[in-house]
Amino acid sequence: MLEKLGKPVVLVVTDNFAHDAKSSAEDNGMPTLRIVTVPADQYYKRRVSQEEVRPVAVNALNPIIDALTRPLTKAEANPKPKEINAASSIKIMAETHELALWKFNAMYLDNHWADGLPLLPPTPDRVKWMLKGTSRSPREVIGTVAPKNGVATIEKIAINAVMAGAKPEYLPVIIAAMEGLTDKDYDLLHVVASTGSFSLAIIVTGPIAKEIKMNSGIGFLGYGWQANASIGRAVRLSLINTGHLWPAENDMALVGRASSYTFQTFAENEENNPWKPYHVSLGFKPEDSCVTVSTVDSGFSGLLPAPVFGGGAVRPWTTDGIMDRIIKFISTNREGMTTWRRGTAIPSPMKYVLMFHPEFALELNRRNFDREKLQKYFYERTFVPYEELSPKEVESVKRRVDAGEVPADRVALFKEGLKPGGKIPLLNKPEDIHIIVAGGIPGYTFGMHYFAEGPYKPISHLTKLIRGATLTQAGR
Amino acid sequence: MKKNLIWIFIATAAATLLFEYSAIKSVEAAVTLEVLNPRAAIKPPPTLAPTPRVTELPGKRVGIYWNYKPGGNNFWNVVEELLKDKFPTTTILRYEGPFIPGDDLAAKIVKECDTIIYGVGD
Repeated sequence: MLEKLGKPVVLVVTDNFAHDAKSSAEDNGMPTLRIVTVPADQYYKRRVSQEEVRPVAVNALNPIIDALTRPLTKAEANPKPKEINAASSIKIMAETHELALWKFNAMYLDNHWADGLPLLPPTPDRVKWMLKGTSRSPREVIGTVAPKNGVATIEKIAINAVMAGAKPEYLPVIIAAMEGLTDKDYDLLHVVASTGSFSLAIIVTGPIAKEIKMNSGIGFLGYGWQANASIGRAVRLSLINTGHLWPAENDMALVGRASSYTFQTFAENEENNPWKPYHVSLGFKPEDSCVTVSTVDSGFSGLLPAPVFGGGAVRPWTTDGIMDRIIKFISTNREGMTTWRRGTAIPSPMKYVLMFHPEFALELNRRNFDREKLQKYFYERTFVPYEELSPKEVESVKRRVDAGEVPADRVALFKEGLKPGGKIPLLNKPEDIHIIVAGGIPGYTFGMHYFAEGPYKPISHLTKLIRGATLTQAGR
Repeated sequence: MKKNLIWIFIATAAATLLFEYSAIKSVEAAVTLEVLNPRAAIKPPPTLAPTPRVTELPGKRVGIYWNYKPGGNNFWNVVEELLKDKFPTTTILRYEGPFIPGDDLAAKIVKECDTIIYGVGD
């Protein structure tokens, strides 16, 4: 950006991010941007203090000075755009069908067009078969996909859906998920590329879930259900191939993800949901079917540990006990509060996707709680008393209020809380608690969480209507 | 006669080899699997060259931009100190902000600096 405004810039990164930085420079139209690297094996462990990190800075100084002052070479001053192979199909020849299948899989993996598991070949006939699941044009553009801004069309998504082992009746669900992820306000770049190793929840609600036999009961995040598995895998493959994504090149998730191949794809348990379906609570019609995409913790990055609040078949649980644990978790989950700052790596307060197991939800319903009441209940009970805030936390809250980083309709509430006897909300708004009934009987109540805003774009949770279905009654 | 027999033998052997080779070729090409490319096209943005460099740092205004990632400030504090030691007449200007500075901050940095060190990568 600063280069485009006419000032010479040097980008400084660690050497393990050199490929990512170069790739990002290409994506932004400046493939010969000057990049200086510092050794990752020194920088991260030494940055804890100036004294520790001094040798790294000393070694970086001359390369930085050189990159700032050495005239551009002819090649740097005349960059060429990277050529992309645009062949629409590939012919694989082999002695037998079986060998052709092996060759196809090896080639696609070598090209970084695969996920590492065997793929089904997307022959023209199979892709045509897949496209029978939607009335939408194969040429329709859904959006551009981070990090390299590939153009996702219905046809490209269908090709990836074939490779994933999906059925045509799943295609409208996969398309809707991709529409959510490529929405102009959804921060896809952060979930697909961040070192924080974030993941996705892909939640299907409405009558289509039952029609395509999605699992929402025991083992709803597990294996054995073609719809759950192949819808998630089709989204994963679509992200690899439309975003031109690859681990350790431009997907820098340090530990990968717990559900790397299929994400966390499941359906709301509508049979045991005592409340309105999730999408209806957002204003959609009961007969609509929707997909919600939500950036969530990977479950083991250490940045955002996934909490289990209770339930199960081993330890007895009580409704009050689970409620207390949820409140305690949210109200104490404020480690990053002093650094919440829009547009940075720690951009905002959290949002929560809470999975309630049916018995818990049914009991709450008996106590006259509905989803909206629960959101308000958790929101209000996780305020932090002013006296418990550290001076740095108070300063941070004041800064966020002054910078317009809290919702306009809640500024007065925050200001009121910033004085002795006051209380400060830990969440931007009650709607940042998303409650989904999922699982069987027995089941667990647990949470996934992430920032309410992404660092690059404002949305990290979005619900899209499924439309264009031709093979199911729902989603048409 | 003997010579002719040898030629016939050689010709037969060559024909056999050629036939077998063709057969092998035809077996290798027995199956053709046509598969579609799953990769999306990229509409690349216009390709730009970096801005010409400053020729030297003495007397120049050098910006250092940091994105608040913890620990980065320690590194950049030392870099600032080292630059000042080496080039006493260079002015170091420090900026902090999100990964991508907004328009106002970018305009301010561009106005105030001759060259910039961008420290938002990991």
